[in-house]
Amino acid sequence: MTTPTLRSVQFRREREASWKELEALLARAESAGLARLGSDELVRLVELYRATGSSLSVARAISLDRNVLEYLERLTQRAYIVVYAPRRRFLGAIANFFARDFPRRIRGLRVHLAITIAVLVASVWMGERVVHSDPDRFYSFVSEEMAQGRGPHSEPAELLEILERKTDPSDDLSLFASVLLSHNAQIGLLSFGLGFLGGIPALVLVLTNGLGLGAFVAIHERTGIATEFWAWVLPHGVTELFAMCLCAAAGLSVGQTLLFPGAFRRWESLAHAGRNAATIVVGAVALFVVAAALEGFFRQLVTSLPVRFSVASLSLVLLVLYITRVGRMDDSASAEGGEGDR
Amino acid sequence: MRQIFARTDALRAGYLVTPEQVLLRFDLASIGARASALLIDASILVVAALGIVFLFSYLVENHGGWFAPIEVLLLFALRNFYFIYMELRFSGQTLGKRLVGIRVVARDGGALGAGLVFARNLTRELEFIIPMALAVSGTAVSGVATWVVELAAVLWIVVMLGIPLRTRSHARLGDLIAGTIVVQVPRPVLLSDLTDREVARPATSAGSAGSTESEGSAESTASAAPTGTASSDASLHSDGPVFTREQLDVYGIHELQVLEDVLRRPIGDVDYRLLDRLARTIQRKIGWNSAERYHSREFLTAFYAAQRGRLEKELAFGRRRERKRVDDETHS
Repeated sequence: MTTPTLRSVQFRREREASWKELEALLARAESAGLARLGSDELVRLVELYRATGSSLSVARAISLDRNVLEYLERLTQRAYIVVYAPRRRFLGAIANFFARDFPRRIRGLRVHLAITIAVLVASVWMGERVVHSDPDRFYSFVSEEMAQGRGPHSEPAELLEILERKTDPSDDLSLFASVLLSHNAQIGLLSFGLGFLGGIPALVLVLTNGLGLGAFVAIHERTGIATEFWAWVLPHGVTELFAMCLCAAAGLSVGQTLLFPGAFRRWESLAHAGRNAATIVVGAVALFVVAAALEGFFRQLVTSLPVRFSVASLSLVLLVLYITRVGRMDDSASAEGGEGDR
Repeated sequence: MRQIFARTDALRAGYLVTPEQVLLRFDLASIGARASALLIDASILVVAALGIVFLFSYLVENHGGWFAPIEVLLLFALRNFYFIYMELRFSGQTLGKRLVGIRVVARDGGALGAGLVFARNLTRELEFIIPMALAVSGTAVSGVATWVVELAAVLWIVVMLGIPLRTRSHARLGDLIAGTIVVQVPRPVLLSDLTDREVARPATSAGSAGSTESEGSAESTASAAPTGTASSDASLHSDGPVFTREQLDVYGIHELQVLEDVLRRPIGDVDYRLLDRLARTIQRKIGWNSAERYHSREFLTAFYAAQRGRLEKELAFGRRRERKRVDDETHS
């Protein structure tokens, strides 16, 4: 031999067996799933993953054999993907989301939420005042489709008829589904998406919905059945309006980050806020489903005012408890980033 | 020569640092691969949706309206949760991605969490599905002319399609929001070391056997041709070319690894003319004037080994010479 064996060749000879072992273990994990590996194999997998990662670092420092470098790079990547695969399956992820993640994120957005709720209340009040003084303004706040034939000149009997209407259950289901899909969830997604335009459109959306609601309140007041109207709206309205405010708050936070990125680069901040907002909107869509179920079934089945109001207050209490109490234990553990981000 | 060295068109890379502080350089999935994966997934979705529609049109007709809303809910779930379910279940791969050989990883190097998967896929709704619905029927927005809505929706889709072309990691909006990248599935292949004698031998003899007709190395075939037994080969090699330090100081790591690429081509794919040309260029460049004549492949393999040894030793002393010396560039 004219040249002594290279250090990199020596290095490779010493480690190659463990790389091959990792390869074999990965092949099994990928085809059969991590669950099929025994506990000692799992331990070994992680061990070998770390060892190969360090092999890669060493190889980068001493070896110029491109094939070895690429091999180690890819082997480490492959192991990384297996080791850091999503730990939660679909249903587990959903359960964890509602038990911990969602209420925690809502608490994180409490300021934005307070703002949107304030805008909502103000706009309902405004809508009510304006239509109260000039009933014909009703039509500037409420679209034809929303009005369903109701207007400032409707007779009390007509209005009451809608409030106490009972329908065929299968129609309710259709109503439920169509309300859910065509309207509410879309509003949620829309207001989140509009957040990227600076958060203002999200607020405008809350505003228009609030004005519309206020206008309805006004026309029912005129005929003296405001209480009946509230009893009609609130059982599902509490949840629905809350979900809408939540979406708007999420949009608002994205818009805020877009304008004021803070300590990080704009795209990074935006990605972070966007992730957070998207998570919240997903939860809000679930709330919309609950609201739509209440609207579709409960409202058609029960017309008694006390029952309607108690359901409304119950849903309010549950909501408040949910966002203030559920998943509190982990709040301090992962206030920012970490597990909470994933 | 320069053409050969310029051949290393590196794929676009996505870098991430694992929690173990190892920097990984993933090869990004190409836009074409992502488009085909999406096409496959979209076809699956369409077929599934059609199946549901047909099944339920039968059920509704025979068993009443109760099935209609269930159908709507099923379609809703399909549209919103197909990607999410798949990417969670198969660690970052939908069926389409699996067929194409790409997958999703977290850009920050952490685990691909459920939150990331939800975020990157729910954005699809915003990117394409809602605007697509608006483009088809622009009636959803009141107070604005239909054609304005449709135009805006089409523009929006065009912008969304443009994002992956403009971003460094071919990210769509959902990737940017979730902080994910889509990469090629890594397929590690460990080849034998070119400088490791016992392993490298067969390649060398096969190379010389196939090149007897190539001119320029015709004289060397007598000494380099395999004589049938491994032992005689080894003895031949032991007095192979020897290089001085000056000769090894000409080229850098980049050239070394291009040479490695050439030498590693599979046997059926070896271009002997290229080897000859390469050998002669290197010999001229380093001022090689040995009386001995070697077969091109043998010369190149020996040069590769010596050059790598030299550069690796330099590396150990903290000197990393990336490319050949610049002043040589002028008279090459």
